[in-house]
Amino acid sequence: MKLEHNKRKYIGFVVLVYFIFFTLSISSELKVTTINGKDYIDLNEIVKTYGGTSGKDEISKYPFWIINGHRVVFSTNTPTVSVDSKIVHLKLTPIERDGNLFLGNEFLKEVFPLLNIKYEKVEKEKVASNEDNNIEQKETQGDIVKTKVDISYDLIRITFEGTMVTFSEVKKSNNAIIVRLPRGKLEIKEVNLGEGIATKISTDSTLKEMTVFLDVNFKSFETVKLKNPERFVLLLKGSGQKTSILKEESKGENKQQNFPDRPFEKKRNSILVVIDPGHGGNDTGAIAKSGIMEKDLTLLYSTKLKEALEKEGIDVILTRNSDTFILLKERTSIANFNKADLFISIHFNSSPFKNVKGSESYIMSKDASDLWSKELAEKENAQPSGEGETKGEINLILWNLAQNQYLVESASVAGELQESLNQFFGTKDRGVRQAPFAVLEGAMMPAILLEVCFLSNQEESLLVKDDKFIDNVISSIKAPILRFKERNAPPVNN
Amino acid sequence: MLRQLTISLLLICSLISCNRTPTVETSQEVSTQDVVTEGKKEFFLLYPSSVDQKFHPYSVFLEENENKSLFIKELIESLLKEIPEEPLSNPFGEGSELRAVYLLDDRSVVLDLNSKVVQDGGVENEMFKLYGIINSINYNLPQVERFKVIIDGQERETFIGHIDTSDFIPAEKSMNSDATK
Repeated sequence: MKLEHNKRKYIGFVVLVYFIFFTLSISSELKVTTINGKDYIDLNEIVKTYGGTSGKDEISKYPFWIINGHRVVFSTNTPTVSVDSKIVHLKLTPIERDGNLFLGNEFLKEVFPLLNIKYEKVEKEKVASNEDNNIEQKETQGDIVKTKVDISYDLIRITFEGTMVTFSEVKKSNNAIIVRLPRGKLEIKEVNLGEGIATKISTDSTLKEMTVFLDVNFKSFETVKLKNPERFVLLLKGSGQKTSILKEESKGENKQQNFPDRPFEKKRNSILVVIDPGHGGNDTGAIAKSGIMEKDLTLLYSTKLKEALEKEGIDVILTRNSDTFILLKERTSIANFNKADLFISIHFNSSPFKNVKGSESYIMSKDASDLWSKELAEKENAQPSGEGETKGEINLILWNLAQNQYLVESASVAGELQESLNQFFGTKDRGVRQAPFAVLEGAMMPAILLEVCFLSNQEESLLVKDDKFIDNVISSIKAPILRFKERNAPPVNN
Repeated sequence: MLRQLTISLLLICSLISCNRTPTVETSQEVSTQDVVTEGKKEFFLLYPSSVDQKFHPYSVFLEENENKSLFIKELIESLLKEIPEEPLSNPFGEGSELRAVYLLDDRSVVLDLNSKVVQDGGVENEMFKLYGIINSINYNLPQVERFKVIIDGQERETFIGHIDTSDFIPAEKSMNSDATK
C-alpha cells in the first residue's frame, strides 16, 4: 500500500517537472515583433501557445480572448484590457494590423497572473517588420470625459460620456465609491450633493479618478454601459427615506441659492405646491420687443402666485427666488425631494404668429412616453431576469417614465388651468398640448408647464407688467389649484 | 350655290381652327407641368397654421430617392426654405440648415442642424421648429419613428430650453391637424 502511494507521488513529481519544462519551452517560442521600436507579441501566437479562443465581439467589435474560464477584452484605442470586467492598464496600446492583434511584450507579465497562467520571461526573437514606420501608436490622448449628475427621489445618476468610458473601473470602499477612467480627463472637479444618498463628488488631481462620498441613506449601486454614444452610468440608490439636493454647480455658471436640506414639513391638512419660475441667470428665455425678459416675468408671477396660495393655506416652495440658473432636472428634483403634491413650471410663450394670444398648458408627451414604454417592454422581453446591462438601461428608462403614471392627473389639472385662463383671456380652448419637456420628466406628482401668455403678441406684452392684469392671471391660476387641494389634501384628524 | 358651299366650308374650317387653338395651349400647359414634376413625386411638408396652431400639409414635388438619408435631407432642406401660403407659416429663420442626416436603422434617425435653427425662444416657436422637422419626416416616412436632434454636431439637453433632446424622441402626432390624417 505504501509502495503504491510512493509510486503515485513519483509519477506526480515527474508530471510536474515535465509541465514546468514544457511551459518554459513554449514560452520561449513566442515571437516578438518590433513595431515603432517597441516589442509586441501577436495574440494568435499567444493563443496558439496557451490555448483558449480568440475573436472579435460582434457588437462592440473589440478583440477578445477566452482562456481558463476568463474573458479578456482588448482595446485598440487605449493601453487597457478588461479581464472579467476588471480593467488592467498596460504599458503599450494594442495594435491591430492585417486582422491580427499585437500586444505589448509586457502584456504577459501584466495580465497572465490574472488568468492563472504562470508568467515566464519571453526570449526576445526579433522579427523584422517593413511596416514599422507606417503604424501610428494610439496612446492615451487628453480627451475630455463629459459628466452629468441627475438627482431624483431616492436615486442619483452620474453619467460619464467619452471614448472607452465603458472600461471604467469602479471600487467601493467604506464610505465612498471610486470611478477610475481608462482614458481622458473628467470635466467636473467638485459637486456638492447635500445630504441623503451622497454628500459630495470630487476628482483627483489627475482628473482621472472620481470619488463619490456616500451618505447615510445610500443603499446600493449599479453600473450601466451604454453605446452610441459610449456612456458609463453609475446609479446610486437610496433606502427610500429621503434624497439629496444638488446645492452647487457642476460648472461655474450654474449658480444656485440654498434650498432646505431636509424635506419640507407639510401642514397636516394642506398640500405642497412647487412653483418653478422658468429660465433664469444666463438663460433669459423669450424676449419681448419691449425688452422684457421671460426669466424676470416668470419670477415675478411665481412669487405673486406663492403669496396668493399661502394665503389660502397651501404650502409653496419656489425652485428659485432670484435671477439664477438651475438645471432643468434639478427643478423637478426639488419637487421630488420635498414630496410635493403638484409641480407647476411658469413660462411665457413666443410664436411666429404675432396675432396668437392667450394661455397654453403643456404636460409630458404621451407619444414620447409610449415610445419609451415600448422600448422598456422590448428590453424586459429581451432579458426577463432583468440582470446586468439591460437592467440598468431599464432603470434609466424608468427614470424618464416617472411622470407617466401621473399623466392623467396632470392632464386634468392642466385642463382646469387652461379653462380658467381661457375665461380670463377670452380665448378659445386650444387644448392641453404635449411634448417631452425636460423639466417635467422624472416628476413624481402631477406636473404642468404653464405658458401664461404670448410675449410675441404686442397687446399681451404691454400688459404683462400691469398690476391688474397680474392679479387676474394669478386668480385664474389659483382657482384650479384650490380645487386640486380640495381633492388631495389629507383629512384633519382630531 | 358653289359660292355658298365654299363660304360654308371656310366658316366650318375657321370654327374648327378656332376650337383647336385653346386645345393646343392647354396641352402645352400640361406638358410644362410634366417637365416640372418629371421624375418627381408629391410629398408633404408640415407647417403650422395661424388658425389652429397645428401642422397642416403643404405639397411639394421632390425626387424620390431610394437612399432614405438623402431623401430626408432633401425633404428637410425643402421644409427650411419653402414659403407656404397663409395661414401657414415657415417658423425657421434665415440661415437655418440641416448639416447631416444619419439613418441608424429603418426607424431611427439622427439629424444634425445648425445653430441658426435654435435661435428664438418660447415653447411654441420651439415646438413648431422641432416637430415641424420630425413630424414632416414621420408623415412621409411613417416607419421612421425615433429621432435624435443634435446642433452643430453636439448633443443638447434641450432643443431651445424646454424639450428634451438628450434622447431619441418620437413624432408628436397630437400637433398634426385633422388634415394630416
